[in-house]
Amino acid sequence: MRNSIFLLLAFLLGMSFVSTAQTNSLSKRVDLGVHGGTQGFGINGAYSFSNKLGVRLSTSLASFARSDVRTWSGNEYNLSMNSNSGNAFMQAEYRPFNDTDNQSPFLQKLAVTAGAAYFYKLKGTASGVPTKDYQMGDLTINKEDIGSINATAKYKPLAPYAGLALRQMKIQSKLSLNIDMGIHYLSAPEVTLTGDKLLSGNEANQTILENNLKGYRWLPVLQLGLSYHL
Amino acid sequence: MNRYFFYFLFLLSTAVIYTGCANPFKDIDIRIDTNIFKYTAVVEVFSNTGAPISNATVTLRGKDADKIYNAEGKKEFIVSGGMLILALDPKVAPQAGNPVTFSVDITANDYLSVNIPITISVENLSTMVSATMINTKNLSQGLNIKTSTVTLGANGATTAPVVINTAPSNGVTETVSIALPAGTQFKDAEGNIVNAGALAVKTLVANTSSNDVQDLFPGGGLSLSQIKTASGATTSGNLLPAALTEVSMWAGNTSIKSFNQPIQITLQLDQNYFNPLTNATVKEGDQARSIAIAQTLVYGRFENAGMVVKESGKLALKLNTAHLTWFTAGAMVSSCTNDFKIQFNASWLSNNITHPVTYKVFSVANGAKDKQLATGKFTVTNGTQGNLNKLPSSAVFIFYYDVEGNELAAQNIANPCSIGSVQAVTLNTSPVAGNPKVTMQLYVRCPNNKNPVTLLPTFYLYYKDAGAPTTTFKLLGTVTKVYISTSLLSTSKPYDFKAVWGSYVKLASNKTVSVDNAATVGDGTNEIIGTIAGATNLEMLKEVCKENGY
Repeated sequence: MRNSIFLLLAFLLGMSFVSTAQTNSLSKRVDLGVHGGTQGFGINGAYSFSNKLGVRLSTSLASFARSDVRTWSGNEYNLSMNSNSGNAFMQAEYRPFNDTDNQSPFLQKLAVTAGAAYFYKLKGTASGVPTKDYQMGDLTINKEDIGSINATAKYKPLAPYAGLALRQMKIQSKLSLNIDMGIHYLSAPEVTLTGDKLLSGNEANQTILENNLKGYRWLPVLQLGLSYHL
Repeated sequence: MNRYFFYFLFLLSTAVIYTGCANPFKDIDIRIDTNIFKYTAVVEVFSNTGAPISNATVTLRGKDADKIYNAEGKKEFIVSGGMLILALDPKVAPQAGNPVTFSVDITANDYLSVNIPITISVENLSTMVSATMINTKNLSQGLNIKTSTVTLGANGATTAPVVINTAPSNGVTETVSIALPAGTQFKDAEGNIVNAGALAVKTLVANTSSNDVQDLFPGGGLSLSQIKTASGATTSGNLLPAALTEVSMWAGNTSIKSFNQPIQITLQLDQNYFNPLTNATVKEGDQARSIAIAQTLVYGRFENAGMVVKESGKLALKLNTAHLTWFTAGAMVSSCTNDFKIQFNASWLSNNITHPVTYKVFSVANGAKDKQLATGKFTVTNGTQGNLNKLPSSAVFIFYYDVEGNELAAQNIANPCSIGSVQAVTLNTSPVAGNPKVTMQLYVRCPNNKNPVTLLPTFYLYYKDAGAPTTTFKLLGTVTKVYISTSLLSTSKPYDFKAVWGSYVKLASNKTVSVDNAATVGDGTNEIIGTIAGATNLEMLKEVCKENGY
């Protein structure tokens, strides 16, 4: 997962090198676009009040899944982890160097962004089931009879955002590339951990998991978008 | 601004954020609950002297014996701390009308062996039965043993008729007479004639007039589920004994099981025996039955149905037998095929407070309670349901007692077999109910582990007044998920506690409880490791932790 993110980052940075050869944009314009990245895929619309100031409204949907095998107390579990998010996101954009006399095409496209997202869905789940039957003395308990352990982490919907972006890197006359890099600050997650059948009684781990996830409040955003200038 | 500075800054901040989060699985410890059993049976094993029974051998028999395990899921059965804990394979469930049945043989040196029939019905998640083992070298009042020696001929046979008579002694007024005809030869378990020169005969006689004769009865109860008749058919019933004896013989070191020809045993009856067949005190000419009860199987066999006779002025019944075991004489009343269902109403046991309630079933003689037919125990909270099975088809009294033996309720049932509906049993408030509700929460932390163990097996907790004899230990209750709440304990006096889990027994002495008690077992500061043999406890804790992967 970690390697994948850095590969994506390298790709996005590479794209930005290509795009810096483009010219800066005009004031008072409307763009519609699509985007994809760590928040999943979505659509967006932007309005530029001037060369330097604009707003952007977007919505994204993401769903990630991963499986793993973990061993606890000598028993192996298949762990299925999923994260689902969906948000409506409004950000203001300020391009401090977007002046006609600025000689750096890169700095002309650099925007400082800030805003907030309303996550109507932001939840991570993990479900573990034993991979093998359980031996207790002379008794064999079928793995299906052991049960499952289920954990969820839910966040409050409102999350402020700050970041940097590269805007209006022209590909064709009306088509341009955007790159967003920033961070949402999330609420502390609300964690639940429950087990059923013979895995009930493991609820004491909920506090431990909650402590472990306390630091999971920074949600990085890496996003690539295409905009069409109306 | 140098564009590379921006790239560097962004990469650095992202990497810091991403790697700054803790491993979400750090210190997570998922455990499988070892309390896998839904149905359990506990046999409380008492000695007639109150001494603990050690080195007992336990054997399970019967149609469902293969489905029974110990608390650790093993086929190893040990009496520990006076308890034998048995559990039904969790894949098996008793069905309505088809309970799980098996029997438990317990043998120990110097004790008469016992055979305990156990029925696990669908309603009774926790079946509790008790067994009294008789120490032949330390007989309690109401038991009498006579040991005799008979010289045998060259062919291992009696050379002349031999008569062995017991005498009244030790609270036993009835006697037994054994007549061996001349030419009687003695066989071992394989049916081989034993030729050892001399024969040792041990005759145990029990006083059956006692209300609690059931405690002495082989099988732990007066209900026999399988009685073979002379025609080979089987029946079941409740036995109301007027005489009870056990005869055993050895030739050399070989235990004798049968003979080449019948011998005659004369059982003198309880002269005041109330005959339920005539509803009057037994008299000469009454019909009576003698039954042989196998020690190793839950069945009896009709040996003889005859008339009560007078021998030397005493009422008696004669039987002829070609084998040795327990013999009893008396009347047989058929057993109910339906369970007698009860539900406890006890407002003083609300809020999940539990209380061990003992029931005793008595036959009725002249409108008063007579012989104790059965006993058992329920862990009761308000609304608890339970079943009493194999009650007789005759009138019974059923009494319910609290842990101190105070009577809480009584039922007078004309015929339990005719009642199919659930009978309400309203328990009067126990005198010990004035105690506050005491909760006890126990945590266990394994050495070298940071957190307490999250899942612990269910164990049984006993208590007694501090310093009282060990024979006075009483069941406090079942500790589930290391938690128990009870109103049996006073907060103003000290108690000794005994915890039994599988083959482990631990004692804690002289503890005064408070309303809320929480403690952690471990080797750390302010943790407890026991007041008796703390070093041993620590080793035991380490061993169990290691076994369980902590």
